Amino acid sequence: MKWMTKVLIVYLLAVSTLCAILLFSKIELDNYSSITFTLSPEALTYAQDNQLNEDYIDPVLEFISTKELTLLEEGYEVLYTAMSTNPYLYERNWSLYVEYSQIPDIDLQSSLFKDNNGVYYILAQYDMPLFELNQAITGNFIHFGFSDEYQVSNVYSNVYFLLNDEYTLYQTANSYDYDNKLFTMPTSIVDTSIDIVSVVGYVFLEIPVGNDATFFECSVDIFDGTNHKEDPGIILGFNKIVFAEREEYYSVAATWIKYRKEIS
Amino acid sequence: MVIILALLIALVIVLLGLVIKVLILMHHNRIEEFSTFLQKFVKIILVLTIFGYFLGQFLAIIAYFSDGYSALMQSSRAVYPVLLSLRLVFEVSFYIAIMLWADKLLGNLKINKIFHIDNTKYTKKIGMAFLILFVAEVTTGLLINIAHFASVGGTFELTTSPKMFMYLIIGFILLIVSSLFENSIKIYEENQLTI
Repeated sequence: MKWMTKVLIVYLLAVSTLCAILLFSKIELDNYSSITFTLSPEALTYAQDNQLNEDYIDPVLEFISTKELTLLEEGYEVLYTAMSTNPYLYERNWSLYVEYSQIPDIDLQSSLFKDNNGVYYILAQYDMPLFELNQAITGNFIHFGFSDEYQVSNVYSNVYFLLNDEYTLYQTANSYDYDNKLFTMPTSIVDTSIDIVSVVGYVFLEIPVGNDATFFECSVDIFDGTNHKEDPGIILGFNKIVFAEREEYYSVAATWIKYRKEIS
Repeated sequence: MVIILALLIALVIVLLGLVIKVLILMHHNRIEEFSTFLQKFVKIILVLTIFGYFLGQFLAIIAYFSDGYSALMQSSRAVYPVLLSLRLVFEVSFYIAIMLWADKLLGNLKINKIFHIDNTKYTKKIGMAFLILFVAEVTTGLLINIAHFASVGGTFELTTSPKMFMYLIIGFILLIVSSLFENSIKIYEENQLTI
């Protein structure tokens, strides 16, 4: 019986040591978050690892980094940054989670900003190969869904497409379906003659006071015009967002989404 | 998906068949046959456990290295697979030990060596092993949750699993059986000495 106890003690010591290492890894994450906004090196590494065209990748990253820096210059305070290149639950402080079912590789960077007025601003970028999209998309492209608790009062969006290395503002839309709590971007966007299509966009939400919503969810679905394409199953969620400032509007949440399509 | 479902159904049917056979053997008090049958069963489970463990580890390693981990994720997340692997090694080691002891115990029963001190030892060892598995399960879960909460944040969650309670209940029952066995052997030996 003694050896069993000894094995147990050794095992528990090993587990404790590993847990201590886990605690220590917090420092690495904190240090890392301070540099993500300027360089996005992981996204670049990801692109290089996947043999994607650097000429294409660089302007995308530059574009996003510029937007991030603009936010910082405008006085937004970075509260939280999370990065994940894996389909795992990844949570830290704000219970960010990412789930997907179909796409095996996704590079997510998500940050939470807060402006001087206490308004929250969520910036998330996906770096995701849409290999399933091998045909022109002529119908609705993306929709965002929100949890039922939300009564979104206003939605703005800007969508940029990278065509021939140039970003084009595709649409400034307010096409939120208040009944179904769906925001849809109607599109006929893809020019099959080009090799890669990228979409960068954000959604801007105003949520009126009176909702005790603690859940924001943005899901991305793809339509090919008439049929619902296979759902890539991407969900970006911020659970339990703490709305510290209860002003006229609860919060502003924005989502940046970048798609990459490689047409075969 | 259909194949997995069919395999699961087949497994359930086989297990049900095993239970029915064991019940029939017990009902007819055929201890030797019962022991022989269970001994074979334990050996199969032993082989499957070892095979399943190595296969699982192999697949986990492949998944880990083919998943495109960034340097950041490797630094912080590498601990999790190591931690979980360690727990698995610990559990599987004890499962193997338990099955080896069970095999010996059944071997004794098969040759009608019932009231023997070895059987008490094996039963006690198996009971203790289950209790140690319980302690390991509880402590590991607690440590991981504390570390996760402290490093990642969010809400502190303490989850329980039925496996944990199963370990505890089986452990206690076996220790009680072992104690009963010990007393029975004493009475048996006294009877043997009585003229």
